[in-house]
Amino acid sequence: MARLFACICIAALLALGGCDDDGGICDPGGPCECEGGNDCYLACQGSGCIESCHHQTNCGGVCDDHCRFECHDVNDCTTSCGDFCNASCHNVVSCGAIIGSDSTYKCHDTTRCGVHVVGTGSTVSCDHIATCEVVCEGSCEVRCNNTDTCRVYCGGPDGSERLCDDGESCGC
Amino acid sequence: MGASGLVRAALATAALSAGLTFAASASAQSTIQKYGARPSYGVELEPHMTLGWIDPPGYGTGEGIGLGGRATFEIIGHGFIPSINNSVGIGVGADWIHYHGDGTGPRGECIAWAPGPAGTRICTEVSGSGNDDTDYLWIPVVMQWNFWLHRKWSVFGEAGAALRFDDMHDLGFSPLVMWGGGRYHFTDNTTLTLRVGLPFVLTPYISLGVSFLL
Repeated sequence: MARLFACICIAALLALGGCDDDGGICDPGGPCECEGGNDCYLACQGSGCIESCHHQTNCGGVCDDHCRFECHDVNDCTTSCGDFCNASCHNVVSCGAIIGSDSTYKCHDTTRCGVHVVGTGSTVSCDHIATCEVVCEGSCEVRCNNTDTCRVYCGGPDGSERLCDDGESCGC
Repeated sequence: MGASGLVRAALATAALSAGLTFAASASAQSTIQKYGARPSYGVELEPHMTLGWIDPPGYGTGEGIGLGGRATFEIIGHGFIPSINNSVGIGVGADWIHYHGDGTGPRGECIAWAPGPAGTRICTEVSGSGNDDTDYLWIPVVMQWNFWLHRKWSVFGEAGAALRFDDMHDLGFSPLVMWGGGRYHFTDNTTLTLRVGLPFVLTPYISLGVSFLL
């Protein structure tokens, strides 16, 4: 009986011990995810990263060009990405983002959404948001639907301010 | 089959094999109905290995491995069921588990923030190694209910609560943790002890060690 019990225990140990010894590196194109827990921030270097955050207290991602980022079901979510970025943030308390040129950022079902576009030719959409603010350093397009306040600053944070009406496509 | 599947299969096989083998030979040396036919001890000291067999509750993913120990003090020699050989103890432990991660949770801490529009602040730089290794320290306090089945075998259930140090720095609390376990008695007072955390109450680890009934 003792041998049987020992063999069973050793088999269980071996089954566990042989796995997951490679750690995890966040590479472009590979999975890069935060799920569960309190604060979690992702970093991925190189073109074509795919990052996601969900069911966290606070979460965020930093990545380079051609990055895809999705965030939902957290309190505060932040994104900082390069050019040709495609990011979305929804069902959170606040979304904050810095995006580069020719990027797309979608916010919906949040209390606050603040996006700083440091390049040109990017599009930001806000849907079902209390306050949506977008700062554009260069040209940009902003679309707001079902927002209480939709505000665009052209030329930087201290630039001219525009209030956008619901459904209106505005920008700089 | 993944590691978790193998472990579950191994445990299921263990339970079945142990049950069948035990049933075949148990009757001759059964002690479950003989009150007092068990080791006399005041404290059970149990150093053990720990195995995280499902994802931890916070940071990290995958399976983990570590070390720990448990001290269980007998508080009721004749347990809650008068007709059988059972006893009750209070146990306190410390269990460290290291998780290698599975590559889906590379994460660090934000070390640089920039103010953003609409009162937001935006993380612009993340520290860390870019991997999802993490460590946990569990400090459980449990009630242990023992059933002294046989001269060579005893089983127990444990329920209680646990403090956790997630990633070794975030204090967490698990209001309900539960284990089921068994001992093989090498001698009356030295046993091989296996304890399996119950996943449905988010007790994500197993321990295997040697108990000294002192």
